[in-house]
Amino acid sequence: MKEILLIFTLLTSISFIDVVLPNKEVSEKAVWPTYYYDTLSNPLTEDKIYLGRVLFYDPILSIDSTISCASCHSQYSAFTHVDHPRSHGVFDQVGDRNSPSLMNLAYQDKFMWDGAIHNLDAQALAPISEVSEMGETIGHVIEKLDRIPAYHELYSKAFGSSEITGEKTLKAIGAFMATLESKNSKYDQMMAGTAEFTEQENNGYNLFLSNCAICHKEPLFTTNEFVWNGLPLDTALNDLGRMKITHLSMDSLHFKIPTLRNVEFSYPYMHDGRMKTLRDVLNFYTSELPFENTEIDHRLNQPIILTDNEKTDLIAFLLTLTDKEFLFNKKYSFPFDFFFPSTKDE
Amino acid sequence: MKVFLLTILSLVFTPYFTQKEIEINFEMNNENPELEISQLRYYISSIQLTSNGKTTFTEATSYHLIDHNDSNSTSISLRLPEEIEYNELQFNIGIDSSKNMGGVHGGDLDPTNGMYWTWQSGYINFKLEGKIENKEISYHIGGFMYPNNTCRTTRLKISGKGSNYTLVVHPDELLQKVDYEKINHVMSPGVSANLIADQLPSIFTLK
Repeated sequence: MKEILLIFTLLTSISFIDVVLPNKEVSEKAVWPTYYYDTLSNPLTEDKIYLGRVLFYDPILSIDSTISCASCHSQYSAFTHVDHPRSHGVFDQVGDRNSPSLMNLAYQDKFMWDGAIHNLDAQALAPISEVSEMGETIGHVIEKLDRIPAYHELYSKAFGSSEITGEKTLKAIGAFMATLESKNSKYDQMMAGTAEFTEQENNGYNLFLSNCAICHKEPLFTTNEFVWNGLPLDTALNDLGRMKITHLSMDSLHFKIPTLRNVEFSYPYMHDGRMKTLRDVLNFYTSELPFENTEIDHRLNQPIILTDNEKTDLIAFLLTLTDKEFLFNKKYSFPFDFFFPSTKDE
Repeated sequence: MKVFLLTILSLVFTPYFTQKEIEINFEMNNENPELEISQLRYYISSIQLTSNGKTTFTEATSYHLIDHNDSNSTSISLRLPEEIEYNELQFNIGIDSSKNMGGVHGGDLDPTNGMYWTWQSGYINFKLEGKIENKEISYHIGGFMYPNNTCRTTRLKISGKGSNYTLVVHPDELLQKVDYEKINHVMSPGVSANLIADQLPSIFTLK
């Protein structure tokens, strides 16, 4: 009798787990991971974030003072360069890649399409120094900033001393970028129970879960991995992606899985911006994907089948990832009070 | 309470070429092989003194940029307790992985010093630029991620209890061991950088 009882208890506990699991999965999706960004080595203080924001919008970072970070990362387009397949920098030079959107960076361990940068505080050095972007050197940027008394004041507030150094400059920009958080889209509100999806959005969400979510994993909508998604090499650019960094042939054509948050405004798409619309992207995955190629990411080795209506529903879901609060948040925007202080006094 | 009397131990880095002290940026026209070194700079880090294999002194925040174009940078003063015993000096040539992972740092590690890569993050551990037999060479040795970690440790026997030691760096020994006809430009982590990094511990000697 005891044995029977025991078995009975086991059975009920198993069925209990069965019942609980789906709910648990749903709640896990809504849980954000912890920061990868090291706030101990670079504490995110208000004054430092503000200095970083000013630097982000100041074209002084470029060789001829024409290009700021915001030139290719504008807030209203989710901090990317809208409408340009590949971003352009000083002297109208065109780079090799589509500038990535910037958000939720504190949750990422590697940056750039190829993961060349492993620390957010070091990130700004790359565009500052790249000839086709800002074409500057960090040393010269420091010299230029040093001539501006208003900057000494900001550095003093942010770091306790007015001396301007490369370390402080990069850490301030890193701190600002770490605060760019997009977490209040309709999708987030739906997950929190404060908004409801339409039938179409809900249908799109289900299609997303079964076709896309394994790589564009919630809640970041990326796994931060580098993969070959089947895009053929553009022989004019000859960009091999992550292989340039690792020198491993297995990383050939691997690029970062981008987040889909605010994807409505971050067009064009892919690392070289070759696709203009979300429908172009879906058409690629449904009709041009070389799923039989053994080099393709293993999650894409089956054909993806979507009807035209399903594509429309899926796009309706993707638009729920738009976060207006993020796109128009004043704490991320051009700091008028620094660049035009007189307007503040009036 | 125990009172430690501190003493200063100075390490002065000096480049030699074929047994002769050289100045960077000076051409060696009449020597053979013809050599002109325009830049020689490297990081020395994690300095330790050991006595019969046991560590007796570890320098705190031990990261030094030695730039032979800047005479103010070529000596390191260690402040150590007087009674410390040692018969070996140990240091890294380059910046260890964990410091690299920590992002950007200040002082000798400030990215404005030109010893930090921009297109890919990470410190350049060792830079040698110049001309040999009229061929340009440019070695920027760095990389901190497996299998391309280029930070190397060297150990040198140190005798007596002097207060001033000359550390001789021999770029000629490096050029003897590296096929500079074939490998003349190294600008990124990888096989060539590892190859050169492997030679770095042996180009430092204590005079």
